Amino acid sequence: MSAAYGGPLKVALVAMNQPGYQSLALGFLRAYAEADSKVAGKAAFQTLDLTSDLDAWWVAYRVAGLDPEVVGFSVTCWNARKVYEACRVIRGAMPRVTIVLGGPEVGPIAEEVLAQQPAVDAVVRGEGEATFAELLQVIAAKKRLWMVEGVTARDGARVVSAPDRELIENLDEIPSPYLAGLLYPVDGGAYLETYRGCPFNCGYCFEGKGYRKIRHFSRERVAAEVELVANTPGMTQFSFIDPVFNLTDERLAWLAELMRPHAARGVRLHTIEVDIERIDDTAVELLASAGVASVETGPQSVGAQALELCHRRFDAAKFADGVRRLKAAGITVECDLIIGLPCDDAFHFLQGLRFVAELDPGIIQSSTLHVLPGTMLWDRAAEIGLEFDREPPHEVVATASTTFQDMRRAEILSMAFQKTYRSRV
Amino acid sequence: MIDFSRVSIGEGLPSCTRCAGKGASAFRDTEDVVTELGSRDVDLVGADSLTHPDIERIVEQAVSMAADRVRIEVASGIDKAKALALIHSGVRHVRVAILGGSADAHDALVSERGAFDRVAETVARLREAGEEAGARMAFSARVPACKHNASELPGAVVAAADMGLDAVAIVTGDMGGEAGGFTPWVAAACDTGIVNTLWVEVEGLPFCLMPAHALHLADSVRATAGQKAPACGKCALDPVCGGLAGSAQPQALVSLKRPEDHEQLAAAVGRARAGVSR
Repeated sequence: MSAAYGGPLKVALVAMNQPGYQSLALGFLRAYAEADSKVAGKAAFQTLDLTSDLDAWWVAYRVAGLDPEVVGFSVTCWNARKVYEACRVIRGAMPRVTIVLGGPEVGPIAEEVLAQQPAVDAVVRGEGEATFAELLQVIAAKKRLWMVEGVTARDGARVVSAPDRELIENLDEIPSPYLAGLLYPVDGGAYLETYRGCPFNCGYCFEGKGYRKIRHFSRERVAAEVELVANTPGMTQFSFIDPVFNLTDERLAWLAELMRPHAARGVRLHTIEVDIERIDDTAVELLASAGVASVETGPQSVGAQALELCHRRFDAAKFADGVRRLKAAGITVECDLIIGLPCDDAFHFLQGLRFVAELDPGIIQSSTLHVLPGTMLWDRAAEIGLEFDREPPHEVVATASTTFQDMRRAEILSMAFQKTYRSRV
Repeated sequence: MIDFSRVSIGEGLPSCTRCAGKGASAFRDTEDVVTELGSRDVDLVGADSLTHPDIERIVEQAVSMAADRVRIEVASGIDKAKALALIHSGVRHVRVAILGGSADAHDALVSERGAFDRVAETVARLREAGEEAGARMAFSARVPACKHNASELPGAVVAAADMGLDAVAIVTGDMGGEAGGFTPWVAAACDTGIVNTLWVEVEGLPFCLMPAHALHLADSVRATAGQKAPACGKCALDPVCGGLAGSAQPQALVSLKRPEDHEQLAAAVGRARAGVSR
């Protein structure tokens, strides 16, 4: 029974993830709303954790089958085109449903999204938990969506943005979706978040989400999540989405302590993101004792000008030393490179490839630059001669230093290189 | 970026028979080959590995001496048992020669009917064997380029793409003094590779003949002292450019012009090939 007949508001939350992954964002959103005293009992949720390779019409079919009154999509640059298409179809099939988008792809450009996507009713900007919960109350009360802090919505023909919402100071106000039983940890695909924000401010990255400071979940809560996830039957490996796992030495030691008993019985952490230039013997020992099997790191570029523009430091000696130490401890290092950073040309990319190839880290990953909304590169693109596809996933087309043709050449070269690199005994 | 050490196992790989006639296969003594192993990445060149009587032993020896990647070149047929044996010995990289864009063109150039189809089948067998063994394999083509197959180069790249290969190395030979007319075909082959998601590397051409495709030359050009004739003129690319390969006549070199941005290009290539300062 829907809200129209006195029942709870029927809400469908939809994510389109890489195969094997679940949406932590939707987990947080739902956990918060269900715990919110003003929403609890007044909204009924169903979560669709779908994969990004699905046809948008099929996604719309699944949504329509739930007969929701509100549909919320988590949008990234990777799934945006499919999400927009699904919204158009859903709008046609269910003219009265309220469609809400949130996520890093739409938050920073909310007004542009609403202008271009007539099927969408509202965009939740920034941190979504509190905003979405209040939005549901407003929807249920049939009041104006655009009056909710953190929301951009339509007011007739206009698109209106309410003021930004203050960040949640105490992150523990957001219940853990794992501890709340809303997310069942999937082997290899479960991710924990221990803090929000990032100590760095790389020009191409939106990991920091524009948060000006780092906020932590409490250690008690993190410990409880680690216990639950690591003890899930069949769990052999999971990960953390924290942008820098070794944020501080003390924090790394604490996390290692949490993980040690589970690592001892074979549970591993994969693709942990680290600041590799700070990896010393102590850090290696802690990572190994925590069961870290693989880490992910830069350098993204070795071009001095590109690094400076993107506010990234790079010390080749320290980087190489960190890789060497981790390899010696049996930890695979994934080194990432970006093709097409402003001020880099294709030969800078070759130089970067040579650098990491010589280190032989285990995994070398490269991809063309994707210019993400909310990043410095997005904001300054015209000024620095950065041409990119305005359609998601916003792939770079050309820069002042790399022609379109060389961009494509570098991409094909990197694919061939990776094939060569990975093929070994 | 990954510099395979070339170790010759003999001679007799397919090449243009109009340039040099059909050569006989000959193998080097296995013990001599083994003494040259020891690198992390080894390319066993010169002869058809599938007909070498000791190839698996050579590969095993290379692996035991810390080779991570061993490449062989193949030209003959193979059965499943042999394919698996090679993979178990440690082969992970396979190269084939493709001289033309069609079976007829290739077979005519190597003077052997059925050669193209046999190579395609061998690639397929080795790929299947790799999947069965759980081994990650990489397949590539060597395209010997000369005046007899210049116009076949783009087609040869398409043929490589159709075989599912991962990369192509165009190795230039005798262009018969027609370097200027030759390079548009090489450029077209490079561009054909891009649209077919296949990387094409070019060996043996100077940058001045392909300035717009410098990236395709950058990693493969090996500067060889004395290879460039004085007619090339003084050029910033001298340290990184091998000049014209093969038996280029001085007259052919007269047509070479130093690229306008030779200093910028030289700096870029040097940067790409230099290590990062530590």
